[in-house]
Amino acid sequence: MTSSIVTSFAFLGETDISYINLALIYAIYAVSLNLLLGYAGQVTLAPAAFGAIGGYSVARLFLDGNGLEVGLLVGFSVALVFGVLIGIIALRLTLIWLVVLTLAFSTIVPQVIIVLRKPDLGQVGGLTNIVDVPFFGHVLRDPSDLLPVTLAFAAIVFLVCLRMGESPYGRVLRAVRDDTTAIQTLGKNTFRYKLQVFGLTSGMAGIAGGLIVVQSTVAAPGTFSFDASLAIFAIVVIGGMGNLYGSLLGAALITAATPFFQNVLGIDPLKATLWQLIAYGAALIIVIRLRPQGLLPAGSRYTRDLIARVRGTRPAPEPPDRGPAMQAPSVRPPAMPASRNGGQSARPVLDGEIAVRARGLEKSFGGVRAVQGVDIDLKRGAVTALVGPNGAGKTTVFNLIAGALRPDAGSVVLDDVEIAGKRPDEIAALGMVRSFQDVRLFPQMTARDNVAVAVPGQPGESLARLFAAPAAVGRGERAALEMADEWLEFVGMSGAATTPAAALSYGEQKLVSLARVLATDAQVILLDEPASGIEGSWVQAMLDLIDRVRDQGRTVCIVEHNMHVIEQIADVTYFMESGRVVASGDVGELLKDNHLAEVYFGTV
Amino acid sequence: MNFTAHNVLQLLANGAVLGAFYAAIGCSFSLILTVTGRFHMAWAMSFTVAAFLAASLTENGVSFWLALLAAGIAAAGVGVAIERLIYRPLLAAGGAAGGAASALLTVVVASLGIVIVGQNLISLFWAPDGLGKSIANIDVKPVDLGGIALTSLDITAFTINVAMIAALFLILRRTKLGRNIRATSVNADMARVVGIDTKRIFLIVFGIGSFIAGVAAVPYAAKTVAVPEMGFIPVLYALLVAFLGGFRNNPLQTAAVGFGIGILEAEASLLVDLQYTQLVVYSVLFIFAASRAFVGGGRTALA
Repeated sequence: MTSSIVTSFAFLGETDISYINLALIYAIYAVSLNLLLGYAGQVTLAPAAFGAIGGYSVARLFLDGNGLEVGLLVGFSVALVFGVLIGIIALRLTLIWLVVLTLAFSTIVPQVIIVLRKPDLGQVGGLTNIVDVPFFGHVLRDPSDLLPVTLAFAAIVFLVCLRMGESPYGRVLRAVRDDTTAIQTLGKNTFRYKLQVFGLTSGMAGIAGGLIVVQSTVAAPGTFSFDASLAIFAIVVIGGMGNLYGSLLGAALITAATPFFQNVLGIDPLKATLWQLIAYGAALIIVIRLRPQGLLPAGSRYTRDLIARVRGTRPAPEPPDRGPAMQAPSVRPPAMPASRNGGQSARPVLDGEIAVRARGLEKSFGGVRAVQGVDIDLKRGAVTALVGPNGAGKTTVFNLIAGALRPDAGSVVLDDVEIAGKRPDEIAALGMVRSFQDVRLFPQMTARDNVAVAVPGQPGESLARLFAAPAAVGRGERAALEMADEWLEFVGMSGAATTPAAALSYGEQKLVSLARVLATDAQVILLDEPASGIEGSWVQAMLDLIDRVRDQGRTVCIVEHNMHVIEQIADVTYFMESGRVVASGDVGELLKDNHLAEVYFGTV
Repeated sequence: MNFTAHNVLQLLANGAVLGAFYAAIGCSFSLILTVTGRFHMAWAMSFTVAAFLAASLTENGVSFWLALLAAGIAAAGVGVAIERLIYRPLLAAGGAAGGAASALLTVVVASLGIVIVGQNLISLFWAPDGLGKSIANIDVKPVDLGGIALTSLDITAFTINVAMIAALFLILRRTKLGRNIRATSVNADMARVVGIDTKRIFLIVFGIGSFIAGVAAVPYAAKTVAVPEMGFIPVLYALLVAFLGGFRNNPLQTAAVGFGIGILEAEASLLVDLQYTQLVVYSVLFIFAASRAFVGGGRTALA
């Protein structure tokens, strides 16, 4: 295969080209692992085991007379299927068991290859003599014949991963990494994302494995041992988790180490391999000790411009140097972002229309009956508050309505749809979204991304449209960012748009989390102690915002301890005590009842 | 091999010897993981260094038993050094970044880095000829126990491993140190509140656990030979036994699992080709881990 690429490398010998092939193959491994680990936050110690599936497919199919293209296709598909299967198990495992699972998997697969060796060939060490492999009829004889193939696949894998990672899709992945529960409550089907990424990246590792078999002429367990997985892991960690360019750099550095030790330092080849391993092991320890973000950190200045170009947006400006603490937002009337279901905001509050109807809710924890037969209505366009002393069961009721807990008995109906037992993302899609008392922003994402990720129905969140409809994806992304900026302005947090959430104060985080909930466009908003843990002036700002959300026609339910908050904004208040609703109605009227005041304040 | 009563008994004895080894290394790995939460894959380095040191010492005329003791102490030193110089500062520096999950991953990655470095340094400087090292100064004689053939090395290994498990059990259950270790394991924060120096407990646990690994490594190496990558398979077995044994600081329970696996593996040679036994063992680990997704322990909230 004489191509212009090869001629431009003519000054290199076949050995050098062989190293370039190796670096490109490791880049495929590392870039795909990085998407899984650095973006989606899913752990696997077994990339080389998926490579083994691809490698064995290529070798076996070649020995049966097929070309590389057939082997790679089969290897990709089989690895993808195994990736999805592992992903299904991984969804339900804690990290430590996932480490054990993938560790075992990475040991099993190369061993299975020995067992599955072609009996009539009878090699103990795997499938050998994988030479002169044809690729679409063209025989790959030398490393320079393979170079265009490795280059093409590395480029495809890199661009696909970059597109997946640096897009609305990747924003959801990063949210999954930072807080799976929180992103699910915002309406994203986290199972779908996790399985897609597990499957696709495993398939890509299968391609790398298939190519490495052609490169090394054998499909031997040693090529896909746990050590190989470690090398890939090291490349990702050293290069920088969450930065695909870092993985390219890492792959180049680690592959270059062998010829460097051999030729530059003059160490004999056998020992050079050992020194290379020592070097990357040591680099691994040093990097996670001194620079845990890797050589090229996620969102690094050097790569942000490149990524922005890929996304077709302007490079994000440097985050402004923010003062030590932001002023509490002044109570000013920012523009109310138009709700996407525009008509509803102008909709008059229909007296008595019920948005959410909870009936006969029961929930026990062990022997404790936390909630005993609670009925609650959330009136459309009104603020409903749940109050009561500690242990009264109000947070449990809140979680039952929000779908975080499944009731033992009873029903929750949202706009005529029974939602008890549905997943949080399904409930969000039906138009009800909750906030968390402890905020739960995505700490490593900017405030803007935190809000933008909540915007529903983005075309760029679909894997198919990401590649098939780039124009629609671009339009959708501009609209989502615009929407995010409007909601940030609404809560008075425009100045913090490019600040990572972890760097915001608690009060600021509460406001951003309100913007995030509002950006979902949900008509029913459940707020878990929106004013707790923040200071006076912030509380007032928060209450004004909630007022304005109600004026927009949305239905709000809050759990709150602070009686002054309740008095100011609640239209309907439910008092709970010992798992039951003991009174409901206007809070001012209710507080005239001595018993309730005593229960709540401890004194009259 | 045929399915005769004699063969079954012979394999039972082989399995018991093997099982005692699995039990000891399982207790070692489990102790460290349960108390400190460190997924200490670099456990393999304590194991390997001990075997190489014992080989070098016995080669130079030191007696087997003295070399065994030195190997245990060296292994303990390696474990303590890794905790003190790598894990602890690593988590102190980056601990705030991503909570428990990130801490676990950090330790796994660091420990794998340590294994790569250590294993290859040993290849370069301790086994430069690539042939490995044998334990000398040990006289291996056949022993006949009522028709069951073992070697004196088997008996020695079995006795040492069982003695270490018993000692660990007594330390954990009958001493003040053991009480402090168990307290740290259950709730380190609370242990600190009542005045236990948990950092010191971590170091002691790494010391004890690694000592067991080192001592177990010597007869293991004596049976074949010490090579730089010798720690990899034992650490997977140790992990398997530790995970199957549960994390309750109960060496007897963990040891029972170790014996069970050893005996199963030996008896399995009646049914499957020897080269598949490891595959079977890893598959058990895989299936066990996968089953956690659907029952009990490892299951996360469906989020």
